[in-house]
Amino acid sequence: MDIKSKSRKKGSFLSWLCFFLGVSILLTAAGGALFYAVTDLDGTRRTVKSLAENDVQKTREFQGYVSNLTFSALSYLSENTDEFSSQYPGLRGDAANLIVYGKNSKGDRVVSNINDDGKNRKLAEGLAPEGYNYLLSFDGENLKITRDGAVVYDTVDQIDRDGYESFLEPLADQDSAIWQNYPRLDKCRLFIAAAEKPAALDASAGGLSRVVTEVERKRLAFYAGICVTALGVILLIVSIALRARKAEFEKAVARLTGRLWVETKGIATVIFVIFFFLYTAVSRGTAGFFILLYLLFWYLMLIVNDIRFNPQFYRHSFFGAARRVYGDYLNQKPFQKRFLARFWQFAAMEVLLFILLLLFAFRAPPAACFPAAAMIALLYFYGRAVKETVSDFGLLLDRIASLKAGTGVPPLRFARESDLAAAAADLDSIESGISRAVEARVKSERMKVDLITNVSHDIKTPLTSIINYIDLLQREENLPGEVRDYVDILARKADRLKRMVQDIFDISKASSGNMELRMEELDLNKLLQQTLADMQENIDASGLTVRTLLPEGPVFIYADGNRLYRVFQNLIKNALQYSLEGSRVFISLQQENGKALAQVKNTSKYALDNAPDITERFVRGDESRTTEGSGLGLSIAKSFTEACGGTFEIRVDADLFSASVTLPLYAPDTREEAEETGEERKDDAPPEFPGGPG
Amino acid sequence: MEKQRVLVVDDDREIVKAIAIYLKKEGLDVLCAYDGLQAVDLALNNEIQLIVIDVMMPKQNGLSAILKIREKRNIPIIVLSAKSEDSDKILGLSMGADDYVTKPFNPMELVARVKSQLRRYTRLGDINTTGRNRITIGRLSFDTESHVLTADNEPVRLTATETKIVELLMRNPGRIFPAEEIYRRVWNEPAFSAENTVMVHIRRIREKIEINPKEPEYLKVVWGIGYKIEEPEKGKLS
Repeated sequence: MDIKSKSRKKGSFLSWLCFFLGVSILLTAAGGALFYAVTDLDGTRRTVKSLAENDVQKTREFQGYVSNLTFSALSYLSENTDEFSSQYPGLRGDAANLIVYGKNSKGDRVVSNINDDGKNRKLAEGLAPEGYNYLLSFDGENLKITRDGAVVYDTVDQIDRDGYESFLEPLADQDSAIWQNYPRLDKCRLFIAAAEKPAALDASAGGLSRVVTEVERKRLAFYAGICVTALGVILLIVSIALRARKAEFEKAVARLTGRLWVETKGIATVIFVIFFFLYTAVSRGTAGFFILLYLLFWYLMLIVNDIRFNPQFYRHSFFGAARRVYGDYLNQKPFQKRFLARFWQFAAMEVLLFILLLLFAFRAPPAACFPAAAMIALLYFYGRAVKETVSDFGLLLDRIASLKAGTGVPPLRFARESDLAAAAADLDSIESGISRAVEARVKSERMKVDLITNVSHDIKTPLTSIINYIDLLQREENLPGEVRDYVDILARKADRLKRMVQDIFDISKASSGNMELRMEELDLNKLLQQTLADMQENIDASGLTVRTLLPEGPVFIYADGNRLYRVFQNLIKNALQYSLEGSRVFISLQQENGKALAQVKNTSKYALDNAPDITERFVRGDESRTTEGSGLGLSIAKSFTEACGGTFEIRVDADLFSASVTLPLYAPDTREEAEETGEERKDDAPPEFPGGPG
Repeated sequence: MEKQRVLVVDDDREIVKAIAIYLKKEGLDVLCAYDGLQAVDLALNNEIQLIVIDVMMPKQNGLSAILKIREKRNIPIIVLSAKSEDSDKILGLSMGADDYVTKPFNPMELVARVKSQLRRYTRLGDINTTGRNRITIGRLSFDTESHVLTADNEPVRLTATETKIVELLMRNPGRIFPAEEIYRRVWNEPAFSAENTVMVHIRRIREKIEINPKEPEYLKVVWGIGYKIEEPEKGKLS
């Protein structure tokens, strides 16, 4: 594994190295060539052309050499300079390939590299000796070059077949500096002959030999350059083929460079660029320039690489880091302090900038626009920050409102730097806490209902048998008296158990909101009267007086009549059961503030305490209140009232027990429909219902 | 008359046994089954007049057994169930049951219901049940000429006022009459203390026509509105 990754690393480095070398080669070879080509297009073209030339005499090197030799010789002959042979020491050794012969009119200055007078004389006649096909002759006015007898250059006739112009131009122009400076040029005669096929080359000798070897060397260098360029191209192609591997290395480099602050990079770049320009301005050397250019290239590549693989390279900055550190420090402080701190910073900076502005305004007015611009920019950024905070505030408030309304809104996602990020996160956690708690409550409530439903179903089956067999026992005729009593007790208790199971089931359904309701518009006044009529027998049997205080007309509400009947049935039963003998039970109905308020009041037989618990499920109002019923009457009354959208309240004042049922009145705008169903309800209903006759 | 035969189905053997005792006392022949499959088997292979069947049972539950039996037989079926919600009752009745009794039940009430169903079933098609001047609502039937009310084809003895109330309600089945209207139309005088007076009569009528007067099925109080006569439960299906 380790070795593998190591070799992988090596591979990625090698592929990058291919790229590096390839680009370097192309930059130096091709780039250099391109540089020359651009700066001296014509010269470059001629150089390349002459490198491809087989005939030495047509190469630029030969032409240049011959031209230089001509000028040097003429300079000496025309008494411009006093030295010649020392400049061309090797000429004498290369006489087989090149002959020079020249003299002035006085004959006191002679240039010659051979001692053969015959050849010299022949030259002086303007004829090339045997074996030499090239002849340059200067007669004091005209310079003429012939090759194989054909004229290739003539200053008078202005012939230039081989491109000597750039070399011999000064001689062709009679007004040029050379004619002015060389005093006796017109008295000079010069002849140069060159062999067609240079033989017995000796580079140290100079002359034509040197020219030939020079050409050979340049040609070699040229081909070598092409080969190296080709190598560069190949390397580049290889690196492109392996670019995935190369990218790995580049990524690794980018990771390293990414650790540097962006300011460091910026400063380094600036220094580099400044150094580059300073150097080019000071130094004339091309080598140094090229090396710097080359380094600059790779430096730029490094930066491009950094930007490429660290898309957020600007994030990792010294200022950013400092700001984050400072921001984190501020964030630890309470919001109001943070906000104030930021305001004071802003104010202080504005003041500073203003002072600067004043200073500049007095000293250097145009520069004053900088602090002014900075002041405006600062104001803009501060304003933007305040605006962001305010809008975050708005979002937070909206979220709180939606939380209160219970409408689902996606959680807020403020930026890390936001002042209210912590508050938003807190709110989210509060919300999730609440919803978890609500969920848990709903779940546990549902489980409770399920449990009670199942248990009550499970109890009902054995209870059926108990009731059936007790009934069968009761039908036995030959039971002894006390056994019959026992059976009667069993029957009563079984009956109570039966009611209790149903009541528990009803309460759990109602209080968990799972009860089936048939809500309809009904007259609560009538409902109370019906209930009283329905219970007339119980009232008569109780020996109590029931006083009613009911309104004249109907009191319309929207509720489930069957459930409300159970509510008042239970309240009245409760009152009948626990009232002091001979006392009165008061039943009243009022309408106020859009609500119907029905009350049942009685005077208790027993002392009442722990009143708030009376309606709690399974808690009996008073331990001594036993004997009949499931003891769940008040709980049923409460949960059914609430299921119908009403409120239920028990109040105890000394022995006065009062139960209040409040239900919203039916909206009057739908009253018309109500008239239809109860068309003949025009109340002849008595205002007072006669109480039980005691 | 040949002995009528009832099939009693419940997975609780003691309940079946108790029901059987009560029914035999009434002179009925009883077949017992303890799960749905057995019930279907017995119901389809024996001559029986009525089925009492529990809902929650192993192997095949009561409701699917009822569906199976209903494919072949059109005899009365009384459902026994521990589920007391209205929706449970409606479901049972819509599956083809004729009556629904919740556990724990009063044995005498069950017997009364069995007898009621048997009477209606065996005398179905009698001439006097389909007269022109008859209003029939479930097990109640009122002859508008003779002014006689029958429950399960047995005449019910009603006082003159009770008969008037029953006639008014039976002529308008399902319509809710406020106490004042009943009072005005029956007593022919302005209503005074109508609610109490009407309620007393309603209670007495219930004693005579309802199987369980404490849980009336036909003569109902619509709390906060009035009174009505309506075919039980099945009315809610539509």
